[in-house]
Amino acid sequence: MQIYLPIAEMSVNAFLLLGMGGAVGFLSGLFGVGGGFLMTPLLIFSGIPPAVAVATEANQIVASSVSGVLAQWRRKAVDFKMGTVLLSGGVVGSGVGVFIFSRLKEQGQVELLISLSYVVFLGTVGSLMLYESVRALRRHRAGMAPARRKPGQHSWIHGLPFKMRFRQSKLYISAIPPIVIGFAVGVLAAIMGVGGGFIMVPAMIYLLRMPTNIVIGTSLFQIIFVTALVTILHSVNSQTVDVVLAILLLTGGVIGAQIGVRVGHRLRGEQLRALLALMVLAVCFRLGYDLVSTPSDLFSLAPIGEG
Amino acid sequence: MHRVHRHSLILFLSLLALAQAARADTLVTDISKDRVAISSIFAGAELLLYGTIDRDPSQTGPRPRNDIVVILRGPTEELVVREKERTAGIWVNRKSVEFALVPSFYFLASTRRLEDIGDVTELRAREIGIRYLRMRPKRSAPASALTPVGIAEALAGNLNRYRAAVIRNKKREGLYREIEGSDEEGVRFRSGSLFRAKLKIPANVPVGNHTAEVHLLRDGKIISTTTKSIYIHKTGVERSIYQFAHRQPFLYGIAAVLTALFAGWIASVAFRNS
Repeated sequence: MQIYLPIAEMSVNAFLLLGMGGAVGFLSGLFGVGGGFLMTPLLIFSGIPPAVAVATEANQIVASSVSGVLAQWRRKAVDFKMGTVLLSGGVVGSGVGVFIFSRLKEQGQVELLISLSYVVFLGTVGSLMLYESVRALRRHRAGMAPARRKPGQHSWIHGLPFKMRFRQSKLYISAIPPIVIGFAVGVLAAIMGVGGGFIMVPAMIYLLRMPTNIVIGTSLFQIIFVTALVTILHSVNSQTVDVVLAILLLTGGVIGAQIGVRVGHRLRGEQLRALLALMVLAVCFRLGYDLVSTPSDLFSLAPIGEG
Repeated sequence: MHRVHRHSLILFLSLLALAQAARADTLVTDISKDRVAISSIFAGAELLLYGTIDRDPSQTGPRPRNDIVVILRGPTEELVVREKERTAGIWVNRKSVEFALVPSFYFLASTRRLEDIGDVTELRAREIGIRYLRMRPKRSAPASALTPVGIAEALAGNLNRYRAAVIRNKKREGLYREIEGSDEEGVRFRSGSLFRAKLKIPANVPVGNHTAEVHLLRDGKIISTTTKSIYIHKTGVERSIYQFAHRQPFLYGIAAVLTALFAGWIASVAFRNS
């Protein structure tokens, strides 16, 4: 069934989009990730203008993060104070990101910016995850217990000023690192159409040393507000948020995620992470290949003046 | 005084030409729809254009060979064409040319190959045929930071590469199309002087005022022309969403966020107990 997207101004197959939403939702439920970093490239591969893909995906992430955060909140696994500090950086970051985005859009370089950001971040995160999970798998096979980090370990982060107490996270640290992390994730959300969980979660665990059980809920809390802000800023700046597309994607995504969560319970963590890492790297290579290989047409058209 | 004389002479001559034209064969055309609504299930449309050649009764003798060209032209737009170059291993947009007054949509159907039925000068003057579209570059300095191709370089013949790129891209998107020669999908005579043309409108057609032009050609000259305007517009929810997004972008963003919040909450409630 063909359906016309009013903002993207194109006719697409509704079932294809529902299916894509479902597939990405399934994977995000399976791996416990947002899925934006898979959905935005998929939308671009299927012919949606990159600017519309990024802005609309931010809108969809708002929905998937809300249902995620409500589940975490019921388990009291959200540190609202930490979330708010992260968010204060995120607000500035998303503003900066949208500014860069619309500037480069005028200059015809926004596709390049999106692709390069994806290649760099997916490449880095994917390689690290693959390395880490393969090592964990090997260790598991060798029958060794995974190396636990020592509690109370101090790093340079504890030397920074503006210390705050985060009761829920059982931390007394400077507000600067969470603000910087929030800022970086805000920029990425605006440019890449992602929630940024794949950057924020490792940063919270390894840099801030937050307890693992509240990391997901707290990052989702921050992601809701940042992606909501990104949605509004993109709407105002470039009118690229397509609600019809967003509704199709989130309908498929919600159902897919529920199935994914159930399947995910039956698989082992390291195997899951190795699989996810391989998928992240596959998307990275595909985008990287498109940057390097000679395009079928070196010329492209864009309207002047409006988006 | 001389000027007045010259003016009245011109007026006289043009009246004479008009009178002669009135006596020559004329086209009468009609189109199946003059409004096309783009709704949520819009996947393209097909317009039927009918026409007949009204013969001048004073003319006798054998019926001359008539040819018909039908053009559906979209509203003009300003375009930037960007050219990629390999930079540090990757392909990056480096050069650009901006064009003004490019038809956003162009569909042509003719009974024979254009050069066989019309003088090239006339085809060029009236932009009949994709290859005869003028496509002038904008003279103003481009807003883009890409290296703009200068007018001098453009005159050196480089511009044609960019023109060709516009046509190639538009054809690939299905927005430029030509059917030359009688064809089931193009224009053909049904009987004697009655002809019919199918105008296929793709799903990605730009909205706005389009014009359907019909030209009657004989011995390389345009004998008669009719133009009809066709308004292509979004309708229903699509129209409301589009207008909301463009007129109230801030409120639209808020509404989009609220929709997402609501959908997320619904999902959370629906799957809570499972």
